Amino acid sequence: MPWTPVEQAWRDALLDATVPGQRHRPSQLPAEAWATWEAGAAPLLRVGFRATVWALTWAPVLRWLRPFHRLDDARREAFLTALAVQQSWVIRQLVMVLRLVAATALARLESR
Amino acid sequence: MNIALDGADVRDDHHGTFDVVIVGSGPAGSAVADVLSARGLSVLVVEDGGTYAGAEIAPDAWTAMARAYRGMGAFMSRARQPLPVVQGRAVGGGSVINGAISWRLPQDVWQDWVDADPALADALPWSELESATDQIITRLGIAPTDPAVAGRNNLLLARGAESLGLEHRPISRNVRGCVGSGHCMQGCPNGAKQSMDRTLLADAVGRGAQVWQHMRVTRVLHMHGRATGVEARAAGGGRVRIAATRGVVVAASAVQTPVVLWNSEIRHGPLGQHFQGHPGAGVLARFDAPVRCWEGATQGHEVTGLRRTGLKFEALGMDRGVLASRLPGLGRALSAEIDRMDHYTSWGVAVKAKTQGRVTATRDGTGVVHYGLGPEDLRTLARGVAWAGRMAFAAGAVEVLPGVVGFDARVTVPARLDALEAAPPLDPRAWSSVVTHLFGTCRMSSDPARGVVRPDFRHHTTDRLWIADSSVFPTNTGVNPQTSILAMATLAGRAIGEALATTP
Repeated sequence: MPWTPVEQAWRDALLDATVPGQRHRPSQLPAEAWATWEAGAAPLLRVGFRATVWALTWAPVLRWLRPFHRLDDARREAFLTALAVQQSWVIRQLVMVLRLVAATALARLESR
Repeated sequence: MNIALDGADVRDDHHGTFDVVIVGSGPAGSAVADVLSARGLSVLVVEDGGTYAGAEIAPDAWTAMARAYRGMGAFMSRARQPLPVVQGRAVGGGSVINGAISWRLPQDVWQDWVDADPALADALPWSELESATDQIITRLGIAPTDPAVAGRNNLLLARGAESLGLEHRPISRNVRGCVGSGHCMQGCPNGAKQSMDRTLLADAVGRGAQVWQHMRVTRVLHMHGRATGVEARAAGGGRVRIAATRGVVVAASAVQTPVVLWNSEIRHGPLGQHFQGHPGAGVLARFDAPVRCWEGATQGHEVTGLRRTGLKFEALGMDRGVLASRLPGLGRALSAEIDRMDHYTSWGVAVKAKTQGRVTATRDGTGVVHYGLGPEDLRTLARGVAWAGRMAFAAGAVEVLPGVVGFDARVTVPARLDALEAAPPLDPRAWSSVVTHLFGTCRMSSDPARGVVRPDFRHHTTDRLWIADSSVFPTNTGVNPQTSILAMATLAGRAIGEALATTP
């Protein structure tokens, strides 16, 4: 199922905040790169990444009453910093997927 | 290499007839195609993936993994801690995207096989395996890595092992003219890697063999206990039926081969059981001086001093994106690590695991690997991570990142590694591992109750059906298996050729 524009905005906000201050931003990835990813990724990875985007977009509501993409930069950073040291296995899987997609997206942008 | 038919273009029913149909174009399928085409047989190799060579080689892991890895490297096992099962999916199979590491089958591993089943000594004589290996070494240009292209990631591993008195050596690889571009895992951009699409499979095609790509074989056709061909689904949607007048060889890997047989209702013996692999973990270490582990031979040096204890270490140069994803932190902390990423070494620990799993098929015919690490293998892995850390410190590292949840994220004194080895976390979810090198799901045995194929690679109950990939290996090997697979498949090809010479 294709990502809606709203989901894409959530995804891009999370990915850019994961690796801030680099020469490129993951949100700069062209649609063609996402199409390649969707075609090649295992179903579990595709579903897992989407679940990650949904979960991490809405988790900040519990603390700040706003979804991730509505937070200012400082709160985004605080949220991610807290997330990175979580010991829960489920949260670690979400973080791993987020980090993998953000980092490989960055490397793709830098290689071209 | 010429591709005779691309399944992406096949939208309607399609038929073909060949003497022998080989399922899978990885090292095993290519070696069998090489032998049988040299005997003048008409050979078809059917491959699920597509060509991945020349201009198609991607400079980044994102694209390369999407194009040439099964499930983008994220085909997961089912277990308490699911593990990525890494497999290539391209014409040439895993040989296109692996580190080109070559090992002869260790004689102690062969001896274990023969001790368990003495009939294997006659079917797989050590001298013939060695002779086949010698031919492969010559054909693929296998030689130790030239220190001039090794790069610091490899040289530091050598320094650390040397300091601790561990046996180590440059890795022998199937490359010609390697310039150390560090892109083995994304496919060689210079054509230096002697992957199957450039060597044995290309040789077979030169003799008239055909390769059909982007076609997933769904089942082996059989009638009255005899294999008669295969049925495949083309990427374009067409259904493909291929008659094999002399026989079918399945060489689709230890995951896909049992699934094809299961879907074909050829379910004799311990099909899908005894799945084994080489689980491994990566260890990062930071040095004061830049390392730039993505430069130089991707895997150019190995430490073999602990092989008899089930451990092997390799330098493991990585794409920058994959390396960055393994660094700690998120947000600004992760970005800071990325900024100094060129100071990290990346080394791999591989375990000759004792854990066995199984492969099953879902109703829609997809393979499922049931495999997770048991306590004994986790202890071995912990010992390996500790030794990798010790080597890093001995080489001058300022800190080691073991990557084990519940243990120090950063180790700055070697003594802490003793604590990891002495009391490792035995919850598999604490470890980040991957599984490569897959074996055993159609294992070879002279006893029909214990094996799927006979010692001459023939299926126990279905005539004119052979299996030639690492699924027939009775155990894992503890070392990189590509050359062993090539040698075994060469013997399989010879056995098939001899069988066909004496039957109409």
